[in-house]
Amino acid sequence: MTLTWTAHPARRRPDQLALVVAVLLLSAWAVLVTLESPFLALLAVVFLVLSIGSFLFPTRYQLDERGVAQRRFLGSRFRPWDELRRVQVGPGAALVSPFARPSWMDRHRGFVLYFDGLDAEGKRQVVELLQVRVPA
Amino acid sequence: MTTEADLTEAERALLDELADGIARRRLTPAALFFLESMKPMGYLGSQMMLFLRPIVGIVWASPDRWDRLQAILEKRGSIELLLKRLEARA
Repeated sequence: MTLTWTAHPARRRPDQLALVVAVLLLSAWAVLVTLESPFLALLAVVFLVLSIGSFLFPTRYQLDERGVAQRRFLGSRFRPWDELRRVQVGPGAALVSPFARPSWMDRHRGFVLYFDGLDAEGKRQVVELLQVRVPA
Repeated sequence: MTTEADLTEAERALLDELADGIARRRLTPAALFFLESMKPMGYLGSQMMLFLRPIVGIVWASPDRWDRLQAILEKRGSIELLLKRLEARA
């Protein structure tokens, strides 16, 4: 069974995108005014954009027989099922972690699978597959 | 990228031993953080170990584990294999 979907919150939530753009412009302006450096202002915007990449850019997820794959604009990651040890399901996303116990590196070493772009049935299938594949 | 299949049995055993030692001392989170941040520098680290080898040879009579670890680190992506072992022990 293969489940594939693309999460792109920015496209589906234009109100939040507008807020993000406002924060980016405000940050760039603040850096430009205080440090008087267009380069640093640009750098600030780049850092902010990269840090909220999961919101701004589409992320393609694929769950198949082998494991979990995630592809975003700057690269892709894959982990086989046998390396994943814990699943936590929230209302908007599921955390799949290689750590058996909660760790502050969960998000970094594991995956946060956003349900954005999935209907209720799709979300149910994803959660079911995760719970079957990753032992509790 | 180096995979488990690219390592010899002895190299795999050394990584297991290293991960066990770190876990036993309860240094897993610190080691994970350090290794994760130093991951791109793995090859440079191996060359630093090579540079320090004559000094290590004075302190340790037979630093063969040092040499084996240096050989593992020389392989690109080998730190990830150690990280996965640490994850399993965390």
